[in-house]
Amino acid sequence: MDPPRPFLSACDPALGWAFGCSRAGASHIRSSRPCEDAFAVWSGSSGAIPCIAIAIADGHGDPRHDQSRTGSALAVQAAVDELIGFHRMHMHTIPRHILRSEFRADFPRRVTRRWRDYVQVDVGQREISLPPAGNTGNNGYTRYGSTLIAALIVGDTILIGQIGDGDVVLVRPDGTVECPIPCDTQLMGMETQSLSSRDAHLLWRTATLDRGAGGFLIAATDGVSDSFDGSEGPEFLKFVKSLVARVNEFGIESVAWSMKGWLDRYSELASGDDMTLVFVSINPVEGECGPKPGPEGTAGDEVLSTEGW
Amino acid sequence: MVICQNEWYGNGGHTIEDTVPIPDGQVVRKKLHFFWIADCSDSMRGKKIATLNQAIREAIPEVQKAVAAYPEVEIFMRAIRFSDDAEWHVGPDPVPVAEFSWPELETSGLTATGKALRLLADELSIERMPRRGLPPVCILVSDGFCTDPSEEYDNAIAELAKIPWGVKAVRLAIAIGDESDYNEPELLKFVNQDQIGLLKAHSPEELVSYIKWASVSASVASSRGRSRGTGSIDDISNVALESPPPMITSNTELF
Repeated sequence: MDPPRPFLSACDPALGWAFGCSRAGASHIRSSRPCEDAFAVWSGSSGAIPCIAIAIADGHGDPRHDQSRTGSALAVQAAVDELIGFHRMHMHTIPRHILRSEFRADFPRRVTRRWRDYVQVDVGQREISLPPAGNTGNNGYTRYGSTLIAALIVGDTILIGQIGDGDVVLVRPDGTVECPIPCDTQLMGMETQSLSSRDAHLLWRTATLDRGAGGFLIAATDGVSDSFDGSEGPEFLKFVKSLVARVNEFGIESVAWSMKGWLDRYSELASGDDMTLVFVSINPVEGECGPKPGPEGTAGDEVLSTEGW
Repeated sequence: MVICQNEWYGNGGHTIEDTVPIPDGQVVRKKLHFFWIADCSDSMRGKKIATLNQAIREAIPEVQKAVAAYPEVEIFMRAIRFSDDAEWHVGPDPVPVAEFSWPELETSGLTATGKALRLLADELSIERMPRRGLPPVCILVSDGFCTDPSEEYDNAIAELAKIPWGVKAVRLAIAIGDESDYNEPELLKFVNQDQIGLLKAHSPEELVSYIKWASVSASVASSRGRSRGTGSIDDISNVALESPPPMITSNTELF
């Protein structure tokens, strides 16, 4: 068996690069439960227009979601497939502002449907039984329940979608921190919105940002922010800014290598939860100032890096 | 689509992870807030209050021991006492369980259960309790009828049913003494664990057992909390507790 990979990465010389790292939580290890997080990073192009797509998912740990490890893996697969499809379908046919509105209008519905299609395939292949949809709010996909955060960097635009908990933060080159999708104030305790929720396509929150001067996009499952003081808390934002500072000082490769140990440490000392973090260095749009390009590595062909299944 | 996995093994395969200092940011464990709500009215005088004081003191290390299996969780305890009025016995600032000690409760006055629950509800409000976290544990111990106006008690219960953490908290009640001495329907309004119901301690032995069982079980169940999707009708319930141990009442040791 191959040794576990410390991180996975994807790169496009024009847009930037991304790496991700996922670790089983300390509490999962103690109870012999697998990591229920998953992530994917992808770079490629369509008609000479490059894009970077990323996705992270956090399968719910509650026993009623006993297939959530598979659910999260299918979620990141569905997200990247849908983002690629979206890119190919829309980049050459519609103006940019319509691209953004189309993303807001279509992506949640399409990715939710795709995830459910993938779940149905898995159900058939593994002969999993799904409880019938009923009046208890169960929509039949509960066993596979997962959150999902997806982002597409293309042209002068950053498109982000999120269902459930987790964090997305963009740090601009001047140090400005943007939280494009504020935390959901309706959620309490350990609850989260889910791909398995009834009317899940209505529970998505989306954001469209200008790529502009570029910056660093960080997406993480809630195990990371819960190890500090929760989403948008001062200590979590301090961590995010410090992470960017480490990249600037030591380089992306060193930080990517260190991430595994850091996430393990946070999980042991704090939340105990699975930990997944995807880091994207986004180059500025040509003519704007921004972060330095990443190291040479993986430019060129389509690359899909996935972890979690 | 070409699918492959791509990775960097930087520095020719040398491990470089230790060369980068860990990022800033203070890490914290998950907080579990635990509330005792203890009756110290005059009817609790004698064996009841002595047993209550002793039982809670004995329960604390057992809670610590049980939750040690969840090192990501840190328990903070507080206590509300009530007689003519309700006030903090330990609090309002939460105390880490490792530093928590139970001051001797003295008895006097009436049974202001409604005021105690109102004080609890204020503390469980979203302004004072972070939205994300483990369900709080609230254990009410009483031996009598609430002497507050009935609407005050019902309003406090309604407030708990209205605020998110009031709903999500693990709320248990232990009734002390003969069943004719306390108002069972009233105390049951506080309990939100239907499968448990009201814990009835007829004897000092049972009171000790129930205090230990309730505090340990609720703490462990809350600590075990895992993420779950919204949307089910049973989402209003919180963590599930196992049944309490069977009690064998000694006729010679009744309150």
